[in-house]
Amino acid sequence: MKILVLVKQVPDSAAAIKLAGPASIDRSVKPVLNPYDEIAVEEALRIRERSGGEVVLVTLGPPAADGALRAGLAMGADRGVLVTCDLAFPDPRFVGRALAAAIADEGSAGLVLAGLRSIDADGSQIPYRVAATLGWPAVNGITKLELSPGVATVTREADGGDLEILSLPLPCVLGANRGLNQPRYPKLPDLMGAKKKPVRVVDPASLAGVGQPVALAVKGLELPPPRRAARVLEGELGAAAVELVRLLREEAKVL
Amino acid sequence: MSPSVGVFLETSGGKPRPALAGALAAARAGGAPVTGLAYESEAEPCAALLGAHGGGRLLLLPDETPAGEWGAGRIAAFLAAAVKAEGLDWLTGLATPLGREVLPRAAALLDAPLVTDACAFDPGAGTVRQALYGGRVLADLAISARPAVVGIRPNSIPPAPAAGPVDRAAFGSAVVPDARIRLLRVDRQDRSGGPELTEARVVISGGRPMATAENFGILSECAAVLGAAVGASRAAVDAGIAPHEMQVGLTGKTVNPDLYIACGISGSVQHFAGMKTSKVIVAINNDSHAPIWAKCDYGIVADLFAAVPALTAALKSAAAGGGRT
Ligand SMILES: Cc1cc2nc3c(=O)[nH]c(=O)nc-3n(C[C@H](O)[C@H](O)[C@H](O)COP(=O)(O)OP(=O)(O)OC[C@H]3O[C@@H](n4cnc5c(N)ncnc54)[C@H](O)[C@@H]3O)c2cc1C
Repeated sequence: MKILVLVKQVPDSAAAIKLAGPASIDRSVKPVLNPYDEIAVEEALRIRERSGGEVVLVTLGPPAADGALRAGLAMGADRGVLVTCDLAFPDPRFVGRALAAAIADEGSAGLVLAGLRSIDADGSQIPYRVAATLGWPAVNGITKLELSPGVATVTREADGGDLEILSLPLPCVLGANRGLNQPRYPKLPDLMGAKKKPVRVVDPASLAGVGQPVALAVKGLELPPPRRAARVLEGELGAAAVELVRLLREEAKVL
Repeated sequence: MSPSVGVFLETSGGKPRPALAGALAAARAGGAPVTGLAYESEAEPCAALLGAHGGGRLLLLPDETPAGEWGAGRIAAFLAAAVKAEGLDWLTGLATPLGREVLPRAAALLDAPLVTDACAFDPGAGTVRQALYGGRVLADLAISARPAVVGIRPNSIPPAPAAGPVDRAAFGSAVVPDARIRLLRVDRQDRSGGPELTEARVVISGGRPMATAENFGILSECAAVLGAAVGASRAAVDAGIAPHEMQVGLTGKTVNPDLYIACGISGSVQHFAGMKTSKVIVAINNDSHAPIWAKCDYGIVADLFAAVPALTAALKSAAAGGGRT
C-alpha cells in the first residue's frame, strides 16, 4: 500500500521565539519535525515493514521545510513531496486544499497519516480539511491502528479518557496521537542516506483547484509578559503552608 | 448589522460546562442574540444557563444517536448544519477535548476559518487572539470570511451574567453524520469525578518525583479540598505513573485555571506551554535552583511528600474558618 504522511516543520519547542516586526517572527529559530508527525511517520514505516508498499512524505512550506522531509526520510520514508509556500502564516483552508491536491496528484494512496496537531499553530484542523476536500473520512488523535483489507480500525481517546474504537473504510485520513507508537531515532548513516532520497518540489499553483497561497490576516504579535519573581515561603513547613493559603486567599484572591 | 453567533453548549454528565459562561459573554459582546446549540434531552439545564447569561434562541437536536453511530461525528454534523440552516456568522464552543474534536470537524465541513484555542474573541470586530508556539507568542487575527469557527480557551473570558428570555426551537433540518465512520465500542475508563482538567479553576499537578501512581493520592486529597483537577507532567506520564489524559503541556492538555500548583515539576518550557496562562502559579519543589522559580508566583522549597499534606491540612483548617491550631 502507498501511504502518504503529512508532515510539518515547526520551531524547536525549547527555543526562544523573537519577533522580527509587528506581525512577523524571526524565522531563524531552530526547526524540527513536528513531534506528532514523527509518530505518523513511524506508524507508516511499521505498516510498510509488515506488509510492503511505499511511504511518501508530503509537506507544505518554504524551501527550508525540506529539513522536515529529510528528518522523516532519515527515519526510513522512501521519498518526499514539498509543496512550496513561503508565507509565515498561511491560511489553513489554503493548506488543506493544497495538501489534498498534492495527495490527489500523487494518486493511489491507500492511507493518509498526519499528526494530531502541530506544536506551533495548534489548530488540529488540517487532517479534517484534507479529508473533506478529498471526500474521505477522517479520525484524529488515534492511539491504535489496525488495518484489514479496505478497513482501518482505530482507537481514540475521547472526553474523560474513555477509549472509542471506530472503524472506517480506506482510503482515509488518520491523525496520530502520543501513545500510538514510540518513534525511532535515525542513526548517522540514515541521516546521510536521507540526503540522497528523492524530493519532488511542487508549485501549488500547478495543482488543480488550489490557486495562489492565501495568508492569515495577522494584525499583531506580542510576547507574553514575564511573571514577577516568586515569593518563596521559608521556615517551618506547617507555618509556611498556612501562610501560603493566607496569601492565596487575601493577596492573590484565587481561593 | 450585528453578527449572529451560535454557541455549542457542551455538557458533561447532563450539565453544561461551567466555562461556557465565558463563551456566552464573548458571543453576546457582538450585540446580537445568541443561538445555543444543544441536545433536546439537555434542554432544561442548557436553557437555564443561557437564560442566566443574556438569553437567546436555543436550538435543539433530537438525541437519537442510532447504535453504531459516533457521537462526536453527529455533533459536528449538527453544528455545521445549524450554521448553514440559520445563516450564523460565527460558531463557538470551548477548547475542551470534545470541542477540539467537533469544532475543527465542523469547520472543515463548512470550509470555514477556524481558531481552535482562542484566548479573546470579539465577533463584532471579527478579531481573535490566539497563542502560538506553545504560548511563546500571542497573535491577533482578523477574520473576514463568514461563517467562522472559534474554540474558546476555558476561563479566558470573564462571565457576564444577565437574565434574558430563552426561545426554544427544535432543529428541523437534516443532520447527516459521516456514516462511513462506525463506533464499534467504547472502553470506559475510571473517571476521577473531579472537574474536567481543561476547565478547572484550580489544578494541582505532580511531576516525575511522584514516583508511583499511588503517590498521586496525596494530590487527590489536596484536590478534593480545593475542588481541583489533578494533572501531571510528561515525565510522570512517560514513567507510566499517570495516564496521558492527565498530561499538561505542549503535547498534553492546555489548562487555564485561577490557581496552578506544580508539585515536583522542574518548570520546562514544554510543561509551561500548557499552563503558563494560569492566573497564579505555585511551586512545591525541593531544589531552590529549579527553573520553575523564575516563572511562578509563590512557592515552598521542600519535599513535596511533606509539603503537600501540610498544604492540605492548612486548607482544611482555613476552610473550617480557623487559623492554625
Ligand atoms: C517536543 C516535546 C514535548 C514535550 N511536551 C511536554 C508536555 O506536554 N508536558 C510536560 O510536562 N513535559 C513535556 N515535555 C518534557 C519536558 O521537556 C520535561 O522533560 C518534563 O516536563 C519534565 O517533567 P518533570 O518536571 O516532572 O520532571 P523533572 O525535570 O525530572 O523535574 C522534577 C522536579 O522535581 C523536583 N523534585 C525532585 N524530587 C522532589 C521532591 N521529593 N519534592 C519536591 N520536588 C522534587 C526536582 O528538583 C525537579 O525540579 C516535552 C518535551 C519535548 C521535547
